[in-house]
Amino acid sequence: MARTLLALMVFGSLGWAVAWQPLHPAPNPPSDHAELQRFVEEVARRTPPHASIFFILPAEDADGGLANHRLRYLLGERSVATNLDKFSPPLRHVDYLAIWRDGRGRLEAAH
Amino acid sequence: MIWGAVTVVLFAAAGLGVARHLDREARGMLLVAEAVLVGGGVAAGAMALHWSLAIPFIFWSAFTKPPLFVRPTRSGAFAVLVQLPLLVWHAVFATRPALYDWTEWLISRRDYFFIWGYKARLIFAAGHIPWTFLGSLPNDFSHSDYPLLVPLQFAVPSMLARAWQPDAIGIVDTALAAAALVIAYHCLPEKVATLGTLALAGCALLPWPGFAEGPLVAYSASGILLLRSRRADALAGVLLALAAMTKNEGMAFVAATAVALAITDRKRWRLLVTPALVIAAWLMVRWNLHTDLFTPGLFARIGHNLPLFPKAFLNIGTSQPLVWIAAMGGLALAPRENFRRERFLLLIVGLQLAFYFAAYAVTPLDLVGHVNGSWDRISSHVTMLVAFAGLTSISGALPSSPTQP
Repeated sequence: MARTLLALMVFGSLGWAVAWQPLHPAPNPPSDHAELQRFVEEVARRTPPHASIFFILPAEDADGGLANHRLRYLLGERSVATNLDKFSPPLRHVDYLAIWRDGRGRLEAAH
Repeated sequence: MIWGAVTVVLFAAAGLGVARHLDREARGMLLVAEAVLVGGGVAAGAMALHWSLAIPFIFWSAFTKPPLFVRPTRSGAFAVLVQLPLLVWHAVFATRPALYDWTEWLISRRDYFFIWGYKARLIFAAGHIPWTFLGSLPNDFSHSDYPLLVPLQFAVPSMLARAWQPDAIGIVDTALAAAALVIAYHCLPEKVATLGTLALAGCALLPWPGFAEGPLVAYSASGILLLRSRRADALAGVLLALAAMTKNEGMAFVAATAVALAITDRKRWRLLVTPALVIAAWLMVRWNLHTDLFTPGLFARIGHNLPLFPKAFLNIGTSQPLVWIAAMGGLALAPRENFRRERFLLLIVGLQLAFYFAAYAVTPLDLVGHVNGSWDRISSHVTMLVAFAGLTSISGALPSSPTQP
């Protein structure tokens, strides 16, 4: 019995680890965020640290209301909000508007 | 990948002196493993304050003349040999560029982009911890209240390379897990050490590289297993302190260990002074960072969430289910004896899970979504300890080898 349990533990552990860590996973559906990445990186270059940036994104880029978290990764020390946020409070003030529509981006100073 | 390897060497070099001081009996691979874990803390601390602070620790390591090269035992060499394919597998998996590709908006990788990788990138870009900015982050999924050991460790390869190196995180993650496995090997009964470490490998080499789960399990399991084996209490205290600095669940591990020690071995409370001081210092530093669990309306949330528990847990799997079944089976082979011997580990596991259920009870998020998005990961925090208790129980039931007295 003890040997069986030991074998179960070894094979169960290794099987789970290997199954959950595929070296060649099934390809993900083609992502259309490469263009958006380039635009966000451009916004990062053209705005100073600590700037507050409000993004206007199309509904398909909502990421369940968490798109602002995705953008933060590329924008570093900048406060970020979008028109699609569900879980974050609004920005206290807005320095820049970044508008992403039809695969093209535009950055404007907010007035 | 090369910067990940350089980082691991830096961790070992920065930690050898401290590890040698805290565990005089360690040598060879055990000493290197302890050094990688401790050095990970030293290097992260140096990066947080000033990189040059790592230099005295590296000199200390050189002057202690650590006994790194010892003749390997046959079982030790065999254990390394059987572990190697899985370590390589995990390293290849954990360094896949797709895991760190921003354009793939995968739900399964959110914690890397929202919390751990985000903060590591912030620290790398700023060249220091941007405290004011972290304090200004809203109380949302970026968890500004989490400790910063993991983002600092993840930022080290990029700071060395002077360029953002996200896939090097996979090497750091693998090295910390491997170090925990070496310590577990030395804590296991000899009869099951090799196969047992193989069973534990799946519990340490977790499928979430770039998250804090790997470092948390590596530090907490190493510290707790060293405490259980009573072989290096001071080192165990340091490893628990580092576990507390990985994420809030690490602080829960320290609290669970304190209660378990109070029940099973009250005289050893002093070894918790180090983690207690580190946690107190962190709580003072992060006083202005928000935590979501204690937002107003606590009792209303408990009343709302508790009835939803059955629905939330009905269809969600636990990490490593076969390991849990085998471990429970092992403990059931001689329940009274096994539960008495492993009561320290099992108390910690029970308390840690109780903390997690309490956190779910007070969560301000949708409970079902919260459980579905986290239970497989957070149940992995204790799997290595459960498996270890099962392995010692199985070992007790195995016939002795004819060469043993």
